[in-house]
Amino acid sequence: MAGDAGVLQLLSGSGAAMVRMSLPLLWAASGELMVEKCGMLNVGIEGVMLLGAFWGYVAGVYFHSIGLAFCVAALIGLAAGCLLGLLYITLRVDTIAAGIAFNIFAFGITEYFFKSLLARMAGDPPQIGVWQVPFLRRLPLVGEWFAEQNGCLYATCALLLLLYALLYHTQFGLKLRVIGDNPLAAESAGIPVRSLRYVCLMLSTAAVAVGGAILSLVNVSAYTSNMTSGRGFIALALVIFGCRRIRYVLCGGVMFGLLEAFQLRLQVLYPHVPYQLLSMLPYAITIGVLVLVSGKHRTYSSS
Amino acid sequence: MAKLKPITIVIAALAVIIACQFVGVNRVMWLIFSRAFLSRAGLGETIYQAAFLAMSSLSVFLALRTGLWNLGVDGQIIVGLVLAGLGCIYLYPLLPLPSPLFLLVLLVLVFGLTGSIGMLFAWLKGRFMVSEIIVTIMSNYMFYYFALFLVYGPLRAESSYLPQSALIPQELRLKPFFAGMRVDATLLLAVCMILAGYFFLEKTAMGYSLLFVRENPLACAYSGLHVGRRYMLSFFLSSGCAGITGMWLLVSNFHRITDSLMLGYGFTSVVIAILCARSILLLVPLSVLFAGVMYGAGVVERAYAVPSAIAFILQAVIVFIILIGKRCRHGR
Repeated sequence: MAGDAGVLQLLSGSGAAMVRMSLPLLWAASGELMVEKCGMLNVGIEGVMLLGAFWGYVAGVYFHSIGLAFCVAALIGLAAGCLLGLLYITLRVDTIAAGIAFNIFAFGITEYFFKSLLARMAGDPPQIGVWQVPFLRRLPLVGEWFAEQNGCLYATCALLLLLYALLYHTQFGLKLRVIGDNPLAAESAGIPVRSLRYVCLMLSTAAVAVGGAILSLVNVSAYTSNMTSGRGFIALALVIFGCRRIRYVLCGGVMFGLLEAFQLRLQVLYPHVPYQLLSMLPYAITIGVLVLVSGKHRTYSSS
Repeated sequence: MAKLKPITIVIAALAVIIACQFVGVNRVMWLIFSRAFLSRAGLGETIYQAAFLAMSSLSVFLALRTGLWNLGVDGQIIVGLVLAGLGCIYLYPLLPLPSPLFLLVLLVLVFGLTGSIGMLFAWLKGRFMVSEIIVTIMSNYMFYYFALFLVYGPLRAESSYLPQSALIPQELRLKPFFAGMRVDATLLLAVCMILAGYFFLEKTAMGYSLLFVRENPLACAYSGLHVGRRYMLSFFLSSGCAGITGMWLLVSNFHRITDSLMLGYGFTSVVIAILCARSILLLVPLSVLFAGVMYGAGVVERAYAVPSAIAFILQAVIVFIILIGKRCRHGR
């Protein structure tokens, strides 16, 4: 297994899985990117992602419709954004403390309903169909990566393009960036800082929650306790070391997808290597990359 | 922001209590409270758990003193537990020391080693401005998986079917003070640690200077205080305390390293540290309260099938209320 054929198998199989694994991270990171663009920091991202994963899954099992499941996840995200906005923007409490408390809150809520509600619900989550795009399949080298992908991939591409257009080619995006750079100047120029921040936060948490739902409904097809296991914070790290630029965040997301796919595949191909050591990889590399990048860039903007 | 009027808060609080009454939450709360505090067995267990909680909360509190968030308490507890396990199983037979003296030596070793790991995180923060929040959370998962690797691999006892290490020697296990209760030397250790922490933070110049770093790191650096070193000191103490918590869990409670390592002290410790704000002595009553809530929620789950996760929801809501209350008091 350890010969050249093994390595080739490792790489070709990892491509498709990499694309799949990076999707939840990209949704969450896009959401966080938007929030940071308007000068806030949402530490509660992990909790929002967990809520999205749980309620998306519950809705999927209950309605047996993938579209409705994502809608419910997005709505939950909007509601979470509302609550966080109330804390961060209206009441202006300590953002980090409130974010951490929100994560605990989300953990408690999902655990509570996981044991009392989901345990009693029968049925499987809906399956999502494969979308085949003819010309993508014929691409050299990477064609196989896209052969078996579903609609989520294309939705993610659309999200990133939309985010780019929104931030850099609309008045709304310009206002957001102005608020991020200097909220006081923005206020004196007549930009409604608070309401725009609310809108931005709610859109962002909706995206983060959908990312969670992709994780539970599409990637794993199951819900387990605390299943995001730090992915929200990895997304936060992605935005920080992507210097809040969409293309760098995209690269980082794909890199982490690759890493996760790679370690899962390694576990299958080399069963004698303890899987626990491979599971450590994504977390260790997050720290490593953060150290490499953070020396040059100040991480948090003042809000 | 316009100041919220106290009457608004009172009305809101009353509305919440009445709403809770309708969904039956108040009854559950009463059950939790009565199981945890109004029976001898419950009270004994609450105090026993409170000692561990106080130690791990002290850990978060010490880091928070310089304004840093140590969210890696769970991971550092695992490190302390594994180091102590290695010491008790492999080092104890080699050293000709009486057991209390050995425990003391091990305590210092675990404190130093776990503290050094924390110091590394703080160094990254001081030197490279790496967010300690993300690093400590990532470290939780790293330590968890590494400890799992040890328990499933090199440390697994040969005779054991389950993934667990050998038991630590009998003479290193702590004995309970009273029959029928688990309260033991952990309680004394927790009290000593909090008193030592109080003395350091409130009565020494170095401890007091940590507070300045929290309030304004730039001004501190300008006036000649070495901010990075203070970050490292506070994180050293903080991680060291978490490591000791892990060690004490081993010698008092588990007696061996098993694969159920995510103990969940981290969340509650962060909540307690936030609630303490500036006063370290508040750690004592808050630890007792939260240990009671956790224990009571566990009992209620077993007896009435109400998931114990309700304790986490309760904790988060308390933090929200405190944060909002603080903001209302200070106005803008």
